[in-house]
Amino acid sequence: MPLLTATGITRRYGGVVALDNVSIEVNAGEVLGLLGANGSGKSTLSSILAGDNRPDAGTLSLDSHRLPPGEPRAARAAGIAIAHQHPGLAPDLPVWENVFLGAEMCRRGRFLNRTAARRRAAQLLSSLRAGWNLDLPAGQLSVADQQLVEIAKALALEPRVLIFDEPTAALAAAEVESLMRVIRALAARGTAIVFISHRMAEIQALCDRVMVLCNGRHAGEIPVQGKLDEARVLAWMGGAADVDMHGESAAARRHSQHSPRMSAVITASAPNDISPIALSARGLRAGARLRGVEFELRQGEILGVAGLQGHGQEELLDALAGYRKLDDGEITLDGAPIAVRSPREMIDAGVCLVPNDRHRQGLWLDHSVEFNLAQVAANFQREPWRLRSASIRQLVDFAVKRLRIKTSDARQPVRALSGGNQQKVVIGRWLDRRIKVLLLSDPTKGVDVIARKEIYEAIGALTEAGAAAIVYASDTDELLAVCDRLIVMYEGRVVAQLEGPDMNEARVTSALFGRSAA
Amino acid sequence: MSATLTSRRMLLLVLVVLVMVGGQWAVPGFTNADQLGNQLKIATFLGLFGISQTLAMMAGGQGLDLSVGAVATLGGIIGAAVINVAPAGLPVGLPLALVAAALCGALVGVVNGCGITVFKVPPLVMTLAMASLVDGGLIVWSSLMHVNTAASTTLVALAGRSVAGVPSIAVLWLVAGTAVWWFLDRSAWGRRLMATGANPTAALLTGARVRAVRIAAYTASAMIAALTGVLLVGYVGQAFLGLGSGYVLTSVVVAVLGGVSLGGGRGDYIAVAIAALFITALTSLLTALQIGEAGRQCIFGATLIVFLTMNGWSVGRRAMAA
Amino acid sequence: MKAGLTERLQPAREQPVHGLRQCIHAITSRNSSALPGVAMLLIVLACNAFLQPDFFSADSLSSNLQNAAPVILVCMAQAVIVLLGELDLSVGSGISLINCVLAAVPSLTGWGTAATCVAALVIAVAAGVCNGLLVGYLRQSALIATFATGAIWFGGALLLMPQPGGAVPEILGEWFAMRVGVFPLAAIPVLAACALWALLQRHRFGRRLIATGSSADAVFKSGVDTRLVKLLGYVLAWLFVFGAALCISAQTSSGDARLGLPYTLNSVAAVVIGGISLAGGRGSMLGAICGALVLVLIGNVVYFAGIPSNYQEVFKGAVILLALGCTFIGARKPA
Repeated sequence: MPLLTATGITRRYGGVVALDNVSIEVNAGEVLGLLGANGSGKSTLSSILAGDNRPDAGTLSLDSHRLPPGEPRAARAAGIAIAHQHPGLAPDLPVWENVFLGAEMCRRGRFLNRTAARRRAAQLLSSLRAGWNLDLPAGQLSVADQQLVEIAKALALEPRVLIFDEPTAALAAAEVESLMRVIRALAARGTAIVFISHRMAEIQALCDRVMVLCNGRHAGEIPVQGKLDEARVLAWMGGAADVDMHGESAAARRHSQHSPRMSAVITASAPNDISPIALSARGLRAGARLRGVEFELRQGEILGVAGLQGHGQEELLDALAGYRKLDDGEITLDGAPIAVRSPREMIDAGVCLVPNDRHRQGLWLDHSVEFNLAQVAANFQREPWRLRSASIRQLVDFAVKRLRIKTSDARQPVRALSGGNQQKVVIGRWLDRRIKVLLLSDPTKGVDVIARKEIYEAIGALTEAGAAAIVYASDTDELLAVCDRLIVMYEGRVVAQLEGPDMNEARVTSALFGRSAA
Repeated sequence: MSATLTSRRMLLLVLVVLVMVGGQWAVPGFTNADQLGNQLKIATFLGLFGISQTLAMMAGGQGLDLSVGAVATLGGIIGAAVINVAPAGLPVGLPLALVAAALCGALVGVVNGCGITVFKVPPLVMTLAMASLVDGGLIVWSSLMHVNTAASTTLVALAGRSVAGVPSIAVLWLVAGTAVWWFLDRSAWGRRLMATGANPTAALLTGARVRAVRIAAYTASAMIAALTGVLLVGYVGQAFLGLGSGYVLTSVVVAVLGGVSLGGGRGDYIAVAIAALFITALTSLLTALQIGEAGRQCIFGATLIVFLTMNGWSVGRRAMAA
Repeated sequence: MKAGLTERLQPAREQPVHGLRQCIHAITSRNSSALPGVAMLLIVLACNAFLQPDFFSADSLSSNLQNAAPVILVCMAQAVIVLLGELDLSVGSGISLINCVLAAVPSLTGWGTAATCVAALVIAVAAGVCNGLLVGYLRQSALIATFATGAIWFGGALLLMPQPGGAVPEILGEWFAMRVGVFPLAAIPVLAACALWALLQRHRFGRRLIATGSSADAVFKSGVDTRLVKLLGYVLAWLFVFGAALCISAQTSSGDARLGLPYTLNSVAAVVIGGISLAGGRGSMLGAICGALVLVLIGNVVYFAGIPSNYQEVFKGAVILLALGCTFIGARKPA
């Protein structure tokens, strides 16, 4: 008799289907692992289970009682708790108060029972890691500690169903061990656990069963009896049913020795060892996320940056664009060293960024397509007291046609466009500039398949004249299909540089998980 | 977006007409030529302060320039003093006064801008504090310097003249308003300002000099306020402390009514100008109906709240449709 | 929106073990934001004591307290709102309104002292509810919404009292000026406000208020109705505004619609000087009180230093600007 059941869950964001008719069941005392590549829908599913997100279709029930979807309080009252991937803590409140945020331990009249709460918080926290300063404001904690507090917060609710969304991403080995002990104890007591993680070792050690999502669909389910069939699971994650830009299935591609250049899509001549170096970086360090990155980029080349989320790829591109401050490191552009001070200087030098979060960093949602496309031109125009409307119109027409941006009229607000077309707008604004290096941070996130192809065509167009591109994408298959060379980042460093025959899924996947290239 | 633009302009125009018609019915003579001319003059000042507020609000970050009143007083006093001290024979008085006022305004504006961008003081607090400082400084100045700050004949003439029945300062407003409209709608400068205000990150990543743009916006805002102060002296006849203070609240009201977004990056000066006409007509009507300041304050506040909630709903609805 | 938690990391360091030193460190760090305010207060206090030899006499302290009480209370009110992550620009006009109610109601309705005070309290709470609804439920920008309601309160005050006048119930003035031994009764409203705040900080509402200012998103995701928290926060603040108005009215004994206008800027400035972040969630009430006292004592210093009255405004303005600049250097960047 399953404890938590969700049937037929569908969730759409604009034109993109995040979850398509997914059903999931968890039994009391069971640990169910949930696996899937970035963008497969795991986080969406877990937030729907916890009531933080309302599905477009589907039902939820706990112990055969129907739950109203999209109501966090109802879910919490029923006994479902979630430890989010990104901790939801109040940064100014002390650690022990954050553990009980919204579920304070009270005496009569809702007055806080501080001593009991501190004691219980200390208990919960020490089960995860020894030695806490309970009074430290949560914002001053390291990422790992914030994650632990988020976990303790979920534990404090003493729920019947506990969902962990990538809890170990930031944790060190000892903390992971403690967490696993805690989870096993909870399962033994009858709690149903959903455990989302990228780390195969943990899934194998902890889970009774594993369910794999791929592109928002249920791809497969398999029991784990001490041994996880990694090959099968990876195959499910890779999406045997997924068809790429060439029309080849990913499985077929994986069998090929060399990763095929998108020669049908990108017409630039393939770079080789004697192409000049467009950009080189050495010893790049920034905060906790970049811990010493080194690589070279040749003219005309498309370099892919692969890695699990949060291992520094986004920070690398931001730093190269002048958007994030580098603590240390040297960068040369066309052989000459360059001091990276501000995005404007970098754009002047020919390095531009297509940012990660197109809504927050790349677009003026309430302004027209034309405004968005023409902004770079407006910023660098020599006669600022007028607008070169003729050349702007030219640029807009060219961009819309070249990138096939689907818009009824260039005066339409960008908000009305689909994700893929919005992304094309972000890319299209660079079309009329002389670019040396184009940095793209996850350009196809939340974009449908057809638009993805068109976007990569756009990247190809921009590299035609000898420009180079660095693309970070969370979908490794795309990188394999599109890029000439690949670097893989793990915990802030480049752990693998792959090209030619080495550019295959197996090598990439093992590098993704930090395993030394076999 | 063009549909909402025209609809707001239309709504405000309709309101102006309503007030005019209602005024004429309630108080005969409300719409005769003299009255209209006078109202137009008052609307001019409000419209000019509206430019200041529009620029500050469009620069984003919950931007407001609450120092426009104090800066107008500053400009007015300095301007009047300069004219009166200038040698009588040469026609340099007025230009010098305008330059002096503009420089004072620019100084205050730069300080405002730097405080807001470099020291990250919220615009509200920064401009309010500057206003208090400027007011205090003027108290000191007026107690130390005993300069005649009555409006010179040039200023009075400037403010009083009419061209074919239309007050010349209204023509000035028309020119200024057109310039502002051009600036916002048809120039790269305007695009940079809107981009910076609406999404400073995106602006930064497309090569905008975000800090410089915001400092420039506050500088321009203060300079316009100062120059308007000089004109105001001509209209009122005398420069005095508190000359501009009544315009702070109303300039904000006018900008909000005109649809300038507090979040930054969006605004249409034509709507703001029509809003200035509306508020002026409304104030005249209330005065003609003998409704005192009490009623006016309440009505302004209520109008602002109604328009705010309307703004909020339309934004919310658009966001949901996305 | 607030910057993400992960962007406010300090370099990862070993978590220290429990100990007495850590407890002390925790307490001082909780109030550490008030340190600049405390430091400024001590400096200004020293200047004041230097310039005014009998500063510490019972008479002088009592009269200073009477002057300071309304400022402290309105600053505490603003502090509540700012800790909540919002702002209230209508507190000054609110003080005027309540003052005019106290001055006008007895003659308008013939009510006694108690009834008049209750009426004023009701008006204060209504104003708080109004602001709270606009900001919490209708999600309006607190800046402009309270700017607008401020105009309405001012209009209301003018309606009641077009010209300064009226008569506040005398007994209030008598009590306010009284001293029991060395203890001035004027301290009671301030002490009551502090006690209420301290009490609420032991109640889950008080902590939720600060949590909402720190990260309304996190609080909402934890299942708390943040709209209600904001509404109640405004109501609490306006209780303090009522106290401030009561103190002023007791002193002036009459009603004046323009009385409260300078209090708005002063309350915001004091809150900032006291180290309370305008982004919300950070700071202590102690800081607000220090900030209020700094403002009051600066007035004293300017007076006793023989600075001509025409310089006082600009001096105060410059000090406020200086304090703002210092507070924002090295402060957490508002997102």
